[in-house]
Amino acid sequence: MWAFNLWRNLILVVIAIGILSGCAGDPKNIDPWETVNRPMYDFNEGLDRYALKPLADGYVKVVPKPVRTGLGNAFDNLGYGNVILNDFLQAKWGQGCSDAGRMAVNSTLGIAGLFDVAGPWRMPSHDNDFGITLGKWGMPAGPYMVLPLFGPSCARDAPAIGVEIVTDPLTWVDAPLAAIIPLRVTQAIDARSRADMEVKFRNAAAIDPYIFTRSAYLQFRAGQIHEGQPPPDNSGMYDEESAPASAPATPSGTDTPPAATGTP
Amino acid sequence: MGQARVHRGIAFFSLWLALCGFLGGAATPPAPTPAASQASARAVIDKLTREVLAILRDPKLDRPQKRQKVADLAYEGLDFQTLSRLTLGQYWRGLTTTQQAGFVQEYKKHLATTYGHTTDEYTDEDIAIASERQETNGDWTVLTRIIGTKDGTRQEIAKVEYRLRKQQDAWKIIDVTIDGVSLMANFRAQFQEILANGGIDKLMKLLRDKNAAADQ
Repeated sequence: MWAFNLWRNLILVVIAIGILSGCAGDPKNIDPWETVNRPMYDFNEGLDRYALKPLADGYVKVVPKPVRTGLGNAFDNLGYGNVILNDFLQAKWGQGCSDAGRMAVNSTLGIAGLFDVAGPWRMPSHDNDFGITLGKWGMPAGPYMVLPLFGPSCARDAPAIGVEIVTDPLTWVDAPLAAIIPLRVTQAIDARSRADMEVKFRNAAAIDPYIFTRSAYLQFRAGQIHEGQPPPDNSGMYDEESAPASAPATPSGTDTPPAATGTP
Repeated sequence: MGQARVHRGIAFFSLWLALCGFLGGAATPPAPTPAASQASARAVIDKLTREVLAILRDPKLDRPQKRQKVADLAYEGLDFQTLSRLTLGQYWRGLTTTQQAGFVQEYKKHLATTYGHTTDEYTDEDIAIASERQETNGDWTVLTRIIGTKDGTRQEIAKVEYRLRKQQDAWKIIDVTIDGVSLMANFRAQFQEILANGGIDKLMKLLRDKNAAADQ
């Protein structure tokens, strides 16, 4: 147990340094890197509109649905080691065992994950990742970040991508790049095709898509970490006209549930 | 990928906001009935969700009829004035009554356009009330679960929380939170940053342009 705590504390210290170096001054400002994030967001949107979405639309048109479902299942299965690892890191023993069973069954009986055999056998899919693990261990989100390609993230969640890569079997397979790259590109196109309804919705709903995405992302992550047991809301957001009439120059912590803003 | 997860959250945001009733129309909300004063917040949500499900499952109604009926329920259950005031927060008092009314109208229209067609997405979902809790300022939050078919089994696919406030003896919805994402907090974040950098005129222009584009 002490070794576990030592590792956890080491990781927290390293990442805390990273976070603190990014937090310039105002603890209420949840987007101190906005001047960098917005251009990156625009870049991602451009990439999406001119490359990823056309490819995803073509993919949907050309590839029959059963094949797309199979590919989607296979890609999800490749990423499932990450879910299992984090289940156990969060002491979710029951879910971890179920998820391990799911990956085992789908990889074998489901033929390399193409068929989701485990789902109807009461081993449903779960979402989990290292960002949630760190959040459950007490780490705050840190400054909001928009990553190239990957999109919305934060100082705490960005390193989790490394964990995803390391737990993906495809990373370790000894195959030529000429085989791996098309697979990864297909993975991206498949993910984009599955998210099309959500992206359309965001485009219709948002007045400022950048802030909409930021707010939804930070709240959603906090929700995944707290799992329906949110900390008490003391942001004053639900109180009538509680703050003075003068306008602050920087956005205050209205994007996230209160405990996720600026706590050390 | 992270973006897929956010987008899944946003997808439920759209569908279940329709069920909670963020739809609009030309009608003004009816006055609260005396019987509503006896209903607890939980009973209000229970009644609302059962009525919405009954409409969505009625084979005799076509899509536009379903949309309209759910919209009517939305007007009964939702306190749109309070939602608007809370969304703008400290900026509300700085507006003239004309600006306030103009904002409420455009905001309402925007939400109606955005969420109006989401009732079309209903398949076979169920809503179960999980629990309720009282907030420090007297509001009540009712937690519900959307049960649907996923990965071949019947399971929870989303958590939806309704926050209600007592207004003149009736409990009204003032916010909906789906999988942790609060409608009010999201729009509040957008609108307040726009107001801080461009004022009410900038916000109104963006809202009007958006509504005009949706009309085409």
